[in-house]
Amino acid sequence: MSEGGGIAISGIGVVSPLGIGATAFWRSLEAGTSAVAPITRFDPGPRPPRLAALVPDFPVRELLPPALVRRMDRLSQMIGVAAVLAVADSGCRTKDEAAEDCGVVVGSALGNLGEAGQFLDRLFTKGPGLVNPMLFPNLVMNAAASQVAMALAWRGPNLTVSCGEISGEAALETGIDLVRRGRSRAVVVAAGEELPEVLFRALKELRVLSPRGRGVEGSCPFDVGANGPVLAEGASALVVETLESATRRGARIHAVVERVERFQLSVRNPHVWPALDSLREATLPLPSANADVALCGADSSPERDGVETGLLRRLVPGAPPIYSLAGAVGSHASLGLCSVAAGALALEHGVLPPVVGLQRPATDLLFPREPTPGSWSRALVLGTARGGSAALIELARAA
Amino acid sequence: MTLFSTAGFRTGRAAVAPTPEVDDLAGVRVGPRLSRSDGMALAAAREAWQSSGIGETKLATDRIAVVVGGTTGGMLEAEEVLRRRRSGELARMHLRGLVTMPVASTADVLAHAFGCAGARATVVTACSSSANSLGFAADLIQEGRADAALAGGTDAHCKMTYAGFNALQALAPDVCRPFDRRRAGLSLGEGAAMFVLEEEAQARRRGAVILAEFGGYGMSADAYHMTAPDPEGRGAVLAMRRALREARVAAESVEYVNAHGTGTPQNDPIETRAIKEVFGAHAQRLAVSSTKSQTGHCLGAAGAIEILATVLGLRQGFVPPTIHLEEPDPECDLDYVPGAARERRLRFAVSNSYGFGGNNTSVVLAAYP
Repeated sequence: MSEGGGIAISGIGVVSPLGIGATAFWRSLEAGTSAVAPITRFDPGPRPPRLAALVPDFPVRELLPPALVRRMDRLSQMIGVAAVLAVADSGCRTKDEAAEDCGVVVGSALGNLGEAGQFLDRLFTKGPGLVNPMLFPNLVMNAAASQVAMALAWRGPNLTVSCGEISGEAALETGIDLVRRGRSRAVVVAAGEELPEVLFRALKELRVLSPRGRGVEGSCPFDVGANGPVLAEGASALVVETLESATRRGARIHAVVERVERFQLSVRNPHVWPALDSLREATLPLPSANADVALCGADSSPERDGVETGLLRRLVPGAPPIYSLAGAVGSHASLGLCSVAAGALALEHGVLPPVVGLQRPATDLLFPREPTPGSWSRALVLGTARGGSAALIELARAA
Repeated sequence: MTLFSTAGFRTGRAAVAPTPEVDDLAGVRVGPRLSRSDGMALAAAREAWQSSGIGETKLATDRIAVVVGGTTGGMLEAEEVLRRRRSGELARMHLRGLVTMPVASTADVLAHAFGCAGARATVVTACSSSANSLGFAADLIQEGRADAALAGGTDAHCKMTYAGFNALQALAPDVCRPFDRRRAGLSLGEGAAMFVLEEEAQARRRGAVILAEFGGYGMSADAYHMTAPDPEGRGAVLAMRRALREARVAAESVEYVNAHGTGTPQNDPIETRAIKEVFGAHAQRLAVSSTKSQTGHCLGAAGAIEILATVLGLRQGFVPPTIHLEEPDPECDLDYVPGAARERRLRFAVSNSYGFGGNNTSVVLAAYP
């Protein structure tokens, strides 16, 4: 993107380990609550890691058509509920001709991995004649976006994008582009990941999760004790439309997206986090104005925390307070969109929540340790991904 | 199918691409970690890159975008790691084989291989993925966010997809016969097609051979069912109309439609009905064909491969055929170019791609004078 007029965020929906709906999510963030807890949904094994931030049961049948819910996987249900909550919050019309050109964009790095694992397990053990044909349609990564379109009867562009750990930011950029180019009047942008046992076990065996080494297991972004991410699941959704469209409808505008800029920190190695020294050779975008607060994807792993705080130091003059959701809700690849939602809510409420889990900051940057009020007008959201992709989003408080 | 055993499946047939010689891809250090899907994309991208001459220009590397469409990324390799871990053959998961599983991995590999530091995107809309990736890339260029783009699609066979289509009884037991009354399903294929897109003026300035013009594209959602198309073809109609409107091409100017044409009982009559609704009486003058009858259904790469077939038709003055069409279905009553290619000078063509979940994309292409 995405220069040009601002884009209104007119709806927010959240399905998070801290609760369902933007209000419950925000209250828990403000209170400094952590959803990181011992895994009980499956046996995580006798030795750490044993923690995750999982989404509790949520009222999927009350919010999505029951006939659709029966055929939806868990990830699609989380994304679907976040999307319909965001659309309800926006007041956009559904299920009529006025909605024919409204679009859906979903971001996800891994999609429905849980059922893919089940499907393959059955294929390997029972053979092709005994796999469950009902599972297969949900294994395409665009299943959630398609099911959101069915729930809303939105027949505009329907896209799923994937970009590692900035899949949420990539979805937001794509949704805004659809609006800017007039391909959609409004777009519900959603992003999410699930945490199936097969993913937890794989990452545990690959030794990428907290606690790496002998440290204490936990999610503590920016802390000297950060020793790997704690896995999470969840979904978030935003409705985006032109400011003119939102104003004409009389919609409540949570915040204005003034800019989404995707940039590359490195093309050196496609499968690892960009090194901090790659920042020297990268062409970094210049923020268009000073941000009052900054949010980033720091996930309690030394490599990501380091590269993102290093980037923020370069990108944001004036050392504003910096926030990450990871202490409160753990980490997954599509959490960036949830950070944008948190940034919009922080501007709207005039409060930045405390960074959960942070005791001894690894840098001299400013991190809120308790709910910090302020009448801010601008927030910057930063995300980075393995392979070197990065995203910068500038939000402004609604007039 | 020569990549894995098909014992117990409805069919043992598939269209398998020659394995790319990854070792020959000089300068790419990620070779041992490449998935089959990455390797095919890299081989196709190298051909596009070299024949376009874009690497010899002085474009800033951060102005060259990479946009890839796909569906299963490195699933073939990940399946093998999972199977070996499950059987106890591996004591723990191996990074190699899993690291390329995410579908976005291919775009990272291409950006690395060609040094492209511009916008990077991966579009996943099932079988319309790479039609959308080309549209996405065209948008980036038209908005001035990139000066050129390496764009297309890639998908390799994997057991999950083969078993899934088998379980849905969507695989043809013998051959794929689009629009034939005996049609009984699709044949799975694999492959990659990559293009270099850029502004016409820039291409002319640097003396590039322009293969065709990307006129515009249209997208829609059926919002109907995960696997069955809307019986009225409403989404297909919307996508074609939106594409023609964006390209500013009158329906009557189109001479060829590269159909989605899967050869399944459901798709072919519904797509025929949608073409008739969009083109009216002109539909009877159109040449319509399904190149899936020749390539198999290449899923995430299908859109790009079929756009390539259409570009070749526009450039060389022929219409690709629908092979294996011998007994026309009365419900499919257009000219499907059965059996053999036909010489025909083409000016405008449409390529249709529809994906699971009702993700529809139509692309308008124009011959370049």
